[in-house]
Amino acid sequence: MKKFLKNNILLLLIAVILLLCAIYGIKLYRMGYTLPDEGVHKPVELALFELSEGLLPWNAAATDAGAFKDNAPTGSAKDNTPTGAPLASGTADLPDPAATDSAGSHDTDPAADPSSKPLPGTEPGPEESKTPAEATNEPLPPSPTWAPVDDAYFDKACFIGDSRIVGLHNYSSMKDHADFYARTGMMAFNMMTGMMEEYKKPLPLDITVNDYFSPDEALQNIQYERIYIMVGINELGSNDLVRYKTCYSDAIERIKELQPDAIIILQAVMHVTDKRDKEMEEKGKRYTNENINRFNEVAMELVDNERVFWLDVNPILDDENGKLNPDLTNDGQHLKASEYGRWVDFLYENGLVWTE
Amino acid sequence: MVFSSLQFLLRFMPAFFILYYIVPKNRIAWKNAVLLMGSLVFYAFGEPVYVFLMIGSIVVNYFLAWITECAGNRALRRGLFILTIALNLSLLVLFKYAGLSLPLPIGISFYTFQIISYVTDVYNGRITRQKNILTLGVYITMFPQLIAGPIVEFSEVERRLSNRRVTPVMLDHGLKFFILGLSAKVILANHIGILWNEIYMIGYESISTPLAYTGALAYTFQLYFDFLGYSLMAIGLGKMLGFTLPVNFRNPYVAKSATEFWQRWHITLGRFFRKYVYIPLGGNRHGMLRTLLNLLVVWALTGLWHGSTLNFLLWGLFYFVFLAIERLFLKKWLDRGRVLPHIYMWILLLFSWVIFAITDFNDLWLYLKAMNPAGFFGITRNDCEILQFYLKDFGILFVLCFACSLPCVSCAFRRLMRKKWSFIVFLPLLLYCLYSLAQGLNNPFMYFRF
Repeated sequence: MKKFLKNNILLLLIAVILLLCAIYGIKLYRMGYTLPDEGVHKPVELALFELSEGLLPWNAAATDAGAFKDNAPTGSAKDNTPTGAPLASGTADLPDPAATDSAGSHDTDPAADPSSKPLPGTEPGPEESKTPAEATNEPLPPSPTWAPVDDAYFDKACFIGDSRIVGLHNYSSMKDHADFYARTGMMAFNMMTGMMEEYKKPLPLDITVNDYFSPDEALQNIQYERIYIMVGINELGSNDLVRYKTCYSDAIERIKELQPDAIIILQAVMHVTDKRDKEMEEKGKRYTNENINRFNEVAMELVDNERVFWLDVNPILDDENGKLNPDLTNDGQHLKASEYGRWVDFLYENGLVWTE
Repeated sequence: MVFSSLQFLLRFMPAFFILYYIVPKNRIAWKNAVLLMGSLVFYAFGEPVYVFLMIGSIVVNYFLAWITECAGNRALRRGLFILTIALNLSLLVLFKYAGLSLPLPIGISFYTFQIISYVTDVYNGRITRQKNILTLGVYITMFPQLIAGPIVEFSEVERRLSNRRVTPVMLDHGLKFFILGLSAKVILANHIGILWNEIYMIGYESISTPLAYTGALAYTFQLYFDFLGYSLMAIGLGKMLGFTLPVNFRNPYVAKSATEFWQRWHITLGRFFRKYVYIPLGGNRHGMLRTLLNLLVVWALTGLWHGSTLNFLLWGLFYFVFLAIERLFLKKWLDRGRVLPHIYMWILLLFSWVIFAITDFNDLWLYLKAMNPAGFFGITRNDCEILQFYLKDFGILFVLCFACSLPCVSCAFRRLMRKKWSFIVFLPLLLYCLYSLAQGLNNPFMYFRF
């Protein structure tokens, strides 16, 4: 025994650490946390996941215990987890009643307003937005329409989004005009606060955050006229439509606040190929077109056609089955570098302009 | 289940080893039973159906080896032996090459080769038949080497199958080997693999020549550390079970010739082909022409073993050409040189792994065109791609990978392992791997379907 103890310090330390993780994981689970992909009880994995997302035990005890105390008897945490991975920032946290409310309303009555325009890419139907009583916001000129635009239009635009937007930046001429705040893996959950460093070229000098900055910081410092956003594909794993909508909505509100003169154009999440669909179904993962469409429908509910608009590039990239055309992609979910031109052309043909 | 998954690390491994160590050390049959059951469970996680194929294969081969050994008549023995080999090979061919739409059973290439080596050795009288079917089952299914090698010969583990014990020191070393392997896989291979995947995503028609080489280099490291990692983890797990599994890699990237490379890369596979194909064909004892012919057969088979698409055959033949040239005259010069042979070998490596990696011939051609040294054909859509992204993001990783390919670093690690305080290094490595895996870095185990 003594010999064992003397020679196996490493093993003992590992055992202790895993034990601590298990205890912490059980505690997290009791608080309503689950793994993003599954609701099953795996304490060590859960602890590791949350730790890797930056949720430290002492922080969890201090801040989140209160937030989740009333929320989660383990039963309800299982089916549709509104908690997931809390972010380092904490902006993503979700008020409990709102969660249940919109969860109910999403499935039952999507009749609110976006359902009337199934493919709003080309005709967003500005007249619709005029009918409700919300026409109080008068400073904008009368009617927005989609029309061809030139480089100057994008000089005052920026793009925010995930790896697809990173690709748009890297492999198209768009970066010569628009600014990009994009990062692989960006989600609505962390859109405004996630740090990035690659796309800092046009920032004015008064930003002195040593190389890294968040879209939030950037938008505090530069004013745009139009802001394009595409996030959503990375959230599919969580399957949490409610949280997606809430966080997306929060982010939009924040942008409105930071950029009083800008319009916000939400781009529909780009589809994946049929092959990718099947692979994902085989693996039991949720990154499928069906789910993309579900997320898009939810995002469309955020459109007001006054300051927030909807643009769907999918129609020009899809095959006849409404899935990403396999000729345009190698990995089934990102365009090949040579195909980004289609997207750029689409954006140039569908700029949002105000006409009398 | 792969070793570098949280499922294996946090569930299977602790559960299995606790069970395994609870069994008293003098009850070797029980230990074998636990190991066999554990291995079947391990395999069944990935292949719930094909686990029965494997069990059936073991049973059939057990009885065939029995009859072969008992048969008095020489011709009968020979006939039975050929039947056994044909049976095993036809299974492999059926699943791997026949173009059926069935998925390939994981690890079938590896365990079929172990079975073949076993029955051949029995037939040749190099070993005596294993009389206990459970023990034979342990040899073939033992989970450390089951799905990605090393290809263990029966004689290497025979003694340990009936008599082994794990000392505290062995356990500690095993764990450290395992962590080292896990780190190679998770920290090096998985991360540098992102670059290669990204190039695939970009499309080979849109990459510049420098990026094509950077990508080839990334894949070269990814493949090595992926496979090295898996072999090290197997050795570590073997030690923790009381076995000594053969070394599979000996710093292959410092080789000065293709011949030397293959003495250092996937050693147990090279050994298999030498022992069971090349030498029975006559080896180098029948003149140069016959030797070259034998080499051709061996390398065509080696290529095909790695995969059923034609690029693997091309890859095997590529090595055949260079091995033949080296055998004819080049080797003598290469052995004398100091710098040029390394350059020669690295060029060979980059091109051979590109051929290995890209299964579609059109894509392969595009990539090779992009690698054209004159740089005419590599057309990039992003002028500053290399400096802006790849070298910045992956630069340190390349340096790390290069360093870890050197013999002095492997040597240092081996020396470190014996130190009492070395947990200061290994514990953070393990924790970083767990952190990395928990972050959900994708984990494509490359040597899985081979």
